[in-house]
Amino acid sequence: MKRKFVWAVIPLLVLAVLVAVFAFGIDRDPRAIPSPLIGQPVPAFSLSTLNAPDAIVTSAELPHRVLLINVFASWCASCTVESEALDWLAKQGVLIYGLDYSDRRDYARAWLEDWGNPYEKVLFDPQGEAAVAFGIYGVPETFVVDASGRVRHKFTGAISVEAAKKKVLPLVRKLEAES
Amino acid sequence: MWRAGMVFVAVAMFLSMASPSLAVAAAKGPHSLPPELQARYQQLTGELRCPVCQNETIAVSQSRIAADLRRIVRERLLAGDSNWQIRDYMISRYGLFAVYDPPVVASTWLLWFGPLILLAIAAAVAFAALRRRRRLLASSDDAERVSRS
Repeated sequence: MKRKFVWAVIPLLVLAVLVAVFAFGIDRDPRAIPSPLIGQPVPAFSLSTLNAPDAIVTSAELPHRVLLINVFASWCASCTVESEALDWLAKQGVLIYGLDYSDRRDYARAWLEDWGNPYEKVLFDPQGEAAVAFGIYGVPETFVVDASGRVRHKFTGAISVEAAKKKVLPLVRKLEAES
Repeated sequence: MWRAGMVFVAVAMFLSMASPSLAVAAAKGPHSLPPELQARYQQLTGELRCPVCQNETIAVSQSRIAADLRRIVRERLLAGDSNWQIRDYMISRYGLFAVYDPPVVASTWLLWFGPLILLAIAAAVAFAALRRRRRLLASSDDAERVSRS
């Protein structure tokens, strides 16, 4: 009698474990790759800017304050969706650097005229060297960098205005309060 | 005339097959690698995982980022990096996700040893079931003997 009870309970236990695993996993995005960069200094890069092909900007020259580094491109459809949120963040005084990935200067300039330019500076990365150093796998992606130059958070995909208000700006303000 | 043409074609075919240097010359271009690095390039790009199209290696993926990753592998090979240095660089950028055969570390224990654990559980269940069956058979034999005697 006791043995029968054990054999009846084991499948239920297995089921319970599976349900727990699936419940934990169902909201997770299998395409999201956790960034090993979180907590690390901004990866070293040396790029020209979109408007000044001869001027080189390096990661060491980033200002010592909280800023966003937004990876975008003129060929990226969801970047047009994101532009509204970035404009709003720029209006709140958030410093945003653009990283124009795998693009042409003339295309990117025309795109910024069409969709607005919220960027303090646009770094031009046609070969994707900096993009790979940042470990990007899609466009757009947005890195939040603190005043000491460490990557603190990464947003993948287009940021909505709502997400900008509820997540990005509070995080920026929190990091600003830290420094 | 016809005969001379045939001889020319035959010689050309022979040369194209016999001389590996011709084949290499054909592969030369802005993206070519010296022959001693080509095998390592094939191996590395076949082991690294494309971060966008996640079930492809960077060797076969058509995505932009895969093309950029291939270029980086090529540049690092030319710069004299070892295969391990290149793998480690990719892991430092994309995490263990970047490689198809992740190393044995705490977060991959389940991946590496999970099948062994499952095998052990299955073996234990099978062993228990067999023993139970044998005991049942033995007791029914006893019962028969008792009833006959």
